[in-house]
Amino acid sequence: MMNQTNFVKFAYIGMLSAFVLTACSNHDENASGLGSLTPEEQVFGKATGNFTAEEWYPGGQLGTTEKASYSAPAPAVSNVTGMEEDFITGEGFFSKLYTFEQEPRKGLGPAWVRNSCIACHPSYGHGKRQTEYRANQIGNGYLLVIYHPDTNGYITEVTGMPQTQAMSPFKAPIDENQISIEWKNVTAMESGLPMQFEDGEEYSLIYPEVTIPQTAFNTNPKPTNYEVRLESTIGIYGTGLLDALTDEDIEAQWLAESKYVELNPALWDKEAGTFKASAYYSAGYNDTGTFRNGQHGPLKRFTYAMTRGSLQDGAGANAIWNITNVTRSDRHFLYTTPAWAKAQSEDAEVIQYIKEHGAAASSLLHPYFADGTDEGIAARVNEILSCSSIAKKETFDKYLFNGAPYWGQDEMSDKQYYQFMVWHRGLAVPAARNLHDAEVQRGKELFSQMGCAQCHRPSWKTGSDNMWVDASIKAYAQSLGKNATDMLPKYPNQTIWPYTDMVQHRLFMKNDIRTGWCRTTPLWGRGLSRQLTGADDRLHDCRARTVLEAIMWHGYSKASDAYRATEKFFHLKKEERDAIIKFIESI
Amino acid sequence: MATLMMGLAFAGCSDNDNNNENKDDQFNIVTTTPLVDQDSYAQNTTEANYSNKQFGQQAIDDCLNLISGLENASTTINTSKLSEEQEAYLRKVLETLVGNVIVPTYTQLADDVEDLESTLNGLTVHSITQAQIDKACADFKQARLNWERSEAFLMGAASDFDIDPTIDSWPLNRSLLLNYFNNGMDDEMLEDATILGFHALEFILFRNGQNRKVAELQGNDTYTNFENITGAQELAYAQTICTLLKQRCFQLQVAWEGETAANANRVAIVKAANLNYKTNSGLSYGENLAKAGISGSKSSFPTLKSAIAQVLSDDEGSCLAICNEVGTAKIANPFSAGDIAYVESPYSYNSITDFRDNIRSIRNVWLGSTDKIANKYSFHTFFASVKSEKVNTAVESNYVNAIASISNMPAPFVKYCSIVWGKNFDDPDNWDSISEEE
Repeated sequence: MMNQTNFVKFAYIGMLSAFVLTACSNHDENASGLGSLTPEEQVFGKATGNFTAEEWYPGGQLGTTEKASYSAPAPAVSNVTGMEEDFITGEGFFSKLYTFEQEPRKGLGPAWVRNSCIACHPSYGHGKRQTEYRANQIGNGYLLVIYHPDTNGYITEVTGMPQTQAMSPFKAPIDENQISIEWKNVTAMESGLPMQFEDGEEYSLIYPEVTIPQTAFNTNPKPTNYEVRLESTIGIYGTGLLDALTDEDIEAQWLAESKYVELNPALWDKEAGTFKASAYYSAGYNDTGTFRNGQHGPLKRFTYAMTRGSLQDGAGANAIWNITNVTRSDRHFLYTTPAWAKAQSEDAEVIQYIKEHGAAASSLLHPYFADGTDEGIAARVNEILSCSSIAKKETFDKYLFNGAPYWGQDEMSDKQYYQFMVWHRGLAVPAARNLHDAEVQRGKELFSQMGCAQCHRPSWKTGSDNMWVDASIKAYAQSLGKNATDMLPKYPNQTIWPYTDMVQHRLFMKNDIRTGWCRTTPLWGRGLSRQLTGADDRLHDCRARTVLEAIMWHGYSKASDAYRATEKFFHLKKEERDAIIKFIESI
Repeated sequence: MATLMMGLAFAGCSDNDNNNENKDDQFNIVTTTPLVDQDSYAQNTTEANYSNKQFGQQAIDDCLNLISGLENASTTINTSKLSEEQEAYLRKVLETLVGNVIVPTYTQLADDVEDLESTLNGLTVHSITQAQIDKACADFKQARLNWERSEAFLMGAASDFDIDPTIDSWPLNRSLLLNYFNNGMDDEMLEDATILGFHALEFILFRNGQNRKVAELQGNDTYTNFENITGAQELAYAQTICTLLKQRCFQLQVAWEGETAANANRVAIVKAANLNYKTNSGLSYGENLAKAGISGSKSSFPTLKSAIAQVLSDDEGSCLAICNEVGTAKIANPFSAGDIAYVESPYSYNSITDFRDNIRSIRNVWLGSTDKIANKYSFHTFFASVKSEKVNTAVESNYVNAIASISNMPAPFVKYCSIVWGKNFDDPDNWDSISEEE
């Protein structure tokens, strides 16, 4: 029953509003101070200021989700009956942790970088800055990059993506307790740009210094003359769209830029004005396909170093195998090194443990047990753990596939890998936000005027997306009697807005990335990072804590490809700097 | 005239009074009675039903319908031009969600795990009784209930601090656990989430849907390859990882609640464990949500609407996300092809209860309460007040349906998934005393 006050209040409203009469007489609608909901005029998806309608959809119509999300399926997935089910099952291989033997995620080891994908891509986004290197710290998206500074080549004693975890009794190739990450402050920019803007606002920059003593390496031989860098993961969404860019369009971009900047001679033939053969994919365990008339495989375009492509053997397709050491039908070898194998085979504790625990056929150590003698075990350990290329497939098949306890079963089935790749290739780019905001529009104008857009190229158009497909998915397609190129999400003829030129540039930062060459990172969706992941760390080793810091790192050296644009940014007024940042956070 | 109108209005709304309608002082809201699920459901163990796919399909379909209802609710708010009053009210909804659902659920979860820890710590192998084990199992299930009832709000702290993979990883990496039992334990092993959290505790406390037997824990395990592992080793491990689980649950509570006089002890434990409990900008997660879109608040949400979308329908950490996970992954992955490797709780057979509690967490968010009564500041009351009862019906009838159809799947879920695909379910223990339902 209403009390007197409410009754009076209600009557008062009744007097004011004829609507109440109707409402109460109908018994199904009621007056309230909240009124009713009126639709708001929608700005989303419509041309506004200096943005076209298309720019709300950075991933095009087939590759954009309207949700604030790094994990949503693209329309290219949802539009195909049944594909979303594979996307969802496939997501589990990314978001959940791997085990040694337990279905449905088994095969971890004998050594691994991480036990899952999510460990490095927290909330499906960019890695988070760390102050220590722990492989089991979810959110630590760092790979150790250990190389010889005189040649820039990776050390060969450990794997290119070094492992700090191993299955008992093996000792991890690197003891992570001995890794040190020290964050240092930049006291002065090498370029001479002050660390204070003209209006007095200050900024600070930090960078990591990473050291690993030789004693941390459980290898024989141990490496000498090396330096260490960190490379962080970036988000995964939208990589399917980048895969759908044509090789020719990317080559045209490199050619156009080659007139103004020096390009990576490892990939680019300056004289011929074309990519070198090394820029194209080839792998002993996969064919190059009929792609480009069978002349060569698809153009490598993923990772900072542009070492991988297409997406179907890209960073993620490879990582689900080598980060975890989970093998599948097209990868019957281990991600290990002979130097690690040798050290393990010479370790008395390793031999003794296998002797004690490896006799039973059901034991994961059984393949290493051999005849049960010290010598037999040592020889077998060395033989198996050095199965580090497809050339050793026969040995791998004998001990780690056909024999006990595997009995001919792959650790990841072709179907599981296919589902994983549906998920990977199907991840949508989040829609742009706030494009109707005058400040964002001003930011766009400045971004273009200052030359940022020369490397952070706003827009591309995808080709017909007749993708190259790897052997594992081909095998699965064949088992179903289907065509492999029709089974993954496709993005033909999409106008997309990734804000990258797909070219490697050099910024010449303090403790720079190995080789100095780094592919321009796409900016799409990055503005949602804080909301979606709780962190907003940027650049290849998460050294930038904000967009502003990321921009200023571009001007650390006068030799930087981006120095002039950064210098212009430095001279902007605060509201102009803010407008650029807001623009970057909106696209 | 006024008298006439008052008379009409009174007549009309006194009728509505019978439907439990009321007016609130500040916003003049309309309170109505929401549709809610039953407290308990009869367990479906009719033998013929195990081979009937309809039960599983119905549960999946009802989850999909609930997804549509939630999407519709979120879109309705997000495409509306909200008045100042509506905005102010919705902010109250978020505050209430934090204060009346999220913090109490995490606090309860933290209390439950503390209870479990204390029960486990009270066990001495040689004098252990079945009653003590049963108490630990009951504590576990109570904690599990509150964890599952928190999964509609995995946004925020649970997500930013990667708590879900840290405490709810499955399958349990049994061989790694075995290695550690064989080699002795060290601190480093306690960083590997594949042998931590709920499912590691589940393995130690339950087998084949039943509480572990006292004899086993006094002597050796009987599980394949674990025959040389003693109950004493397992219990010591359970004690250790329960403490870690407790720290993470404390972290969830204090991260949302912020530091208070009452939770100072828990904050101290979280700090001592080197765990974060604030956003990047130094807010509590409760503040971060409630201050969405307020200029200068440092909330990670740029607008109130973006926070509401996160609560209701974003792709991760929302009501919609957990509903999608239940319908299309937790149920569909094992059910759609009879692949029981995808059954998440294989030792306790708690799957159906878990799924149902997930949907109840959506109900709790929707009603702004944990007692099935709509809070005066809730999404339910909002839509009742803005004359959009259809939005309420679309969400509420569907969570009721989803809870009912999940409950109506033959139990335990793992047996149902096996038999419905004509597979032998060769779990050795009998089916009569399974611990699935309420």
